[in-house]
Amino acid sequence: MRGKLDLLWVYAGLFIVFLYGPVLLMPVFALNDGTFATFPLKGFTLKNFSAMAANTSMILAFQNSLKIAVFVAVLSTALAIPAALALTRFRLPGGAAIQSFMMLPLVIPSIVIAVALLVIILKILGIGLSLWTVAAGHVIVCLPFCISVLMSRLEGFDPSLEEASRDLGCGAWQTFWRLTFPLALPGVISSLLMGFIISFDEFVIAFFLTGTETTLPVYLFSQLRFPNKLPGVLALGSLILVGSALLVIAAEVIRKRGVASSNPGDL
Amino acid sequence: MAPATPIIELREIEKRFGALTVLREIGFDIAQGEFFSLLGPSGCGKTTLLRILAGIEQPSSGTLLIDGQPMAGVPANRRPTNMVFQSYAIFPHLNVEENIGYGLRNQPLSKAEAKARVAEALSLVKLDGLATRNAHQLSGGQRQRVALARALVCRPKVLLLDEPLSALDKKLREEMQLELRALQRTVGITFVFVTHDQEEALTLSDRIAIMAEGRVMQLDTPRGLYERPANRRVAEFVGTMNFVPGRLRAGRLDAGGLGAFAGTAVGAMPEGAEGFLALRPEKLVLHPGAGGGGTASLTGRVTEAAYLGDRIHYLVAVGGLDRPLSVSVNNVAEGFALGTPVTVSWAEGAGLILGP
Repeated sequence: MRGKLDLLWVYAGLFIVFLYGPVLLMPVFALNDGTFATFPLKGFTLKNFSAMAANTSMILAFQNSLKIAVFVAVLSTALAIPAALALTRFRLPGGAAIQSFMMLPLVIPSIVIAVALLVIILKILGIGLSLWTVAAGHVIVCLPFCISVLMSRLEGFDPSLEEASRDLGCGAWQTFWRLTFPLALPGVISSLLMGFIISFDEFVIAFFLTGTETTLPVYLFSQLRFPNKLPGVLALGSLILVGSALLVIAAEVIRKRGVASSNPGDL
Repeated sequence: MAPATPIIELREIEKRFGALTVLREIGFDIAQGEFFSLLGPSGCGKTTLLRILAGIEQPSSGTLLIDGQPMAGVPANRRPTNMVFQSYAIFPHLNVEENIGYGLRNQPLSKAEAKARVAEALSLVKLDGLATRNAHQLSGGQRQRVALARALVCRPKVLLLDEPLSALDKKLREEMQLELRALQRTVGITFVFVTHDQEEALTLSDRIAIMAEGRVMQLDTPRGLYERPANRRVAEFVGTMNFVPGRLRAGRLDAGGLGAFAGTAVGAMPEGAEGFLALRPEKLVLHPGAGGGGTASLTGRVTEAAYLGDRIHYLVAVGGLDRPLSVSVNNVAEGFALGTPVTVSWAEGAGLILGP
């Protein structure tokens, strides 16, 4: 019995090391006073962080990614709310078909979407590539995630809540803002976070659809050829790691504090 | 018994969901200030009819007038009705006060007036002091009161109640029945009450519409329904009733080998039609011994006796009847042992002759 339990602990330990070890090495190397990301560690330094701050093109790419991610998160969520409402509230003719159609981008490889969009944007629409085209591509891949997160939240409601609101004199618009939106808020926040995270680290579509400006994943990929740039990249990576950990913790706290519901359907 | 000033007028209402017709030929009036119940088994269309009154569902055809105004095309938010939902539909993100005040924002009231109305509604349903309680901290009975206050505070012309007591335990339910009736007298608003509980409907209502399979089977006062049920189905639904099957011949019910029985015929039935002699358990009298005969008695054997204190319920098996007769007698005479041969008799006018 005892031996069995120990083996299980070893397995769990290995599992966690395998999952998170590489990620946790990043801040270690970022704080290491050496040009190469190798052991043995040489000493503690913050110079990588100042180098990162001085690397204007990387900071610019980081800002681009942030801007796109915020824009994509807001737009995908705004588009997903009416879609999720329509799919959960009405018995639409062909509702199931519409829903699977909207979920299609989940199963289409992003390389296919990227190439198709590239052809449409350049050859058919004749628009120049820019951060806008990247954002448009990202909205397409984010939408199914946002819709499913919101749908699982909206499905958990007692349908008579909205009927009661109508019965008490509220029109459709008022019912949405006074009842549906506040109740769906935890789902809306999850959807925003989902959109943000997916857009922020998306590489393939950004690589194909970007113009002269670049997003962070694309920039980092282009810098891999220069080993001396690596510590700066590690420093930025560490900051992003801390930032996203804080975001996820915040999201979880909001979800827990959200309206008691058996079906929160969050991240 | 026609209502004097109708607040609700229903004419030829039909409702179809696809190929399924859930309501047909619904046409009656509900009077101003009446406590009106829609009573029927689940799936009989009573809730759908209530939702048509509220404007949540639209009738497929027919006319509905509320306070003389045609309601076609008038959405739920513009009708002078408010509803207490079966699930209560308490808004989970608002507290008691905000729940009750929800509908007042759409009325031309100042903040102070709205606050006063909410306070008044809180005391009306005996929830004073719980104004800032959160929705999820409320008990079932309290949620029911909040739902009631939230609807009443809007001062509707008609209050619609969809089985509001079904989620409460028996004791609380009986308490709330009395309170609901008193409340209706206080506020003087017309109540339309949906229930599948015949006892509840009888206790509360001025009039009851008994519904089955999308139709109104009978519309009458509780006394009228109990004493003059229109047919066997209504009689089965309201109270306990014994039935002796047979055919109508010369104003009597001919039950073949059992004899021909006199009774009060309810409704017109053609000669030779299939019918039933309907007997309430409390109208029957037991005598020892298998004598009798005649047009108002049957003979049988006691198979079951239940002592209820003030009354004793007997089951009497009669040869030729599928089900034993249920007989309820005052606990004054001496009891009958199981297996005793007995004669069951009744006053000639006490039996009803009903169609199926």
